[in-house]
Amino acid sequence: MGRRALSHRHSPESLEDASKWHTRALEEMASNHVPEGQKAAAKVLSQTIQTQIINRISARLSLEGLIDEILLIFQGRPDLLESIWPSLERISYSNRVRDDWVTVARSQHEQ
Amino acid sequence: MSSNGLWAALLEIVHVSSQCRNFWQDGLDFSRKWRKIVADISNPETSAIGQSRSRLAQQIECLDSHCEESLNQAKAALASAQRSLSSVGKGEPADSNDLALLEPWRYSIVQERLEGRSEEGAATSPPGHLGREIRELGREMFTAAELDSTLKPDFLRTRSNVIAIWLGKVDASEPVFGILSEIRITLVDFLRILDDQPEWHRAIGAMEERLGMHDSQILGLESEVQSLRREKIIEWGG
Repeated sequence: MGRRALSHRHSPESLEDASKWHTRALEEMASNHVPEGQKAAAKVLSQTIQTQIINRISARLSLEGLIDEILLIFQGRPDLLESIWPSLERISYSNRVRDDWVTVARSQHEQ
Repeated sequence: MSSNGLWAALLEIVHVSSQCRNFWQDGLDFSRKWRKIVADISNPETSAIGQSRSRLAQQIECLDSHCEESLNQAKAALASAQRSLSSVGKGEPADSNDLALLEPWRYSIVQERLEGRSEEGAATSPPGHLGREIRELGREMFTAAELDSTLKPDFLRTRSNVIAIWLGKVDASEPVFGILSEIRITLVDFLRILDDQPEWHRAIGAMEERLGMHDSQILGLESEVQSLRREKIIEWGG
């Protein structure tokens, strides 16, 4: 029986790259002059969102490590793996990150 | 039967019934202590562990009742044999009710001597009577189980060994055979769960480790950890 694959997975490297890219973008955003009026509020909002993105990527990165660790612990024990699988699927779904958060870093890097 | 023959037969019944009484008393202590340990397992009834625990608790209760009933039968036979010995010693006739009660015991002992424990012998054994092998093995078997049970999970393993030995020494026609067989099946299931414990501890430990990390907030992890812990790790409670 072939092993099912968990959905929403990303490689640690791509997540690390994405985290770096978003952090750099956030730093750049913070270093710009703060415009007046609504633009200032929009900037604060986008910085908050950017921070959230970085946090979610960081959580996903940690989760990827956890999933790999559990797969290793249950290696050779398909019965136990089967038993924990629904939990892994639920956590993986709850912590999915948007593909464009990850691909933006790659596409920018390639440019 | 001559009074000498009756004397010798009664002496032997005293000996055998006293061994049986000791066995059932030890068996009763064994099952009562086991019931307490199993009652300490505090997993929810809906979990695989909880379901297995409930089945086991009911089966041990049956064993407990069987030991208690058999103990009473063995005690009654012993008391009758002792009263009869006392009467014969005084040159008086033994009470006919006592002799009637002891007749199946005498028959079983004679059968045992003639042919070992045969199927027919086992089927016609009086309640409380045990075959030679198991009644002689009892104390050693029960004592070893207690000595080896230093940790709560060990109780299940040592008791599993006792049940296997006991089961191997009783005939399928004896009432205790069914009780022991069911306990054996449930224990196999429970020991499989116990054997999986190290892996579950490691996996859930890895998850818990990430709960304490400040830089990662894995959504839903805490509830999954709690749920898995309840479902997969034996909680010994008490």
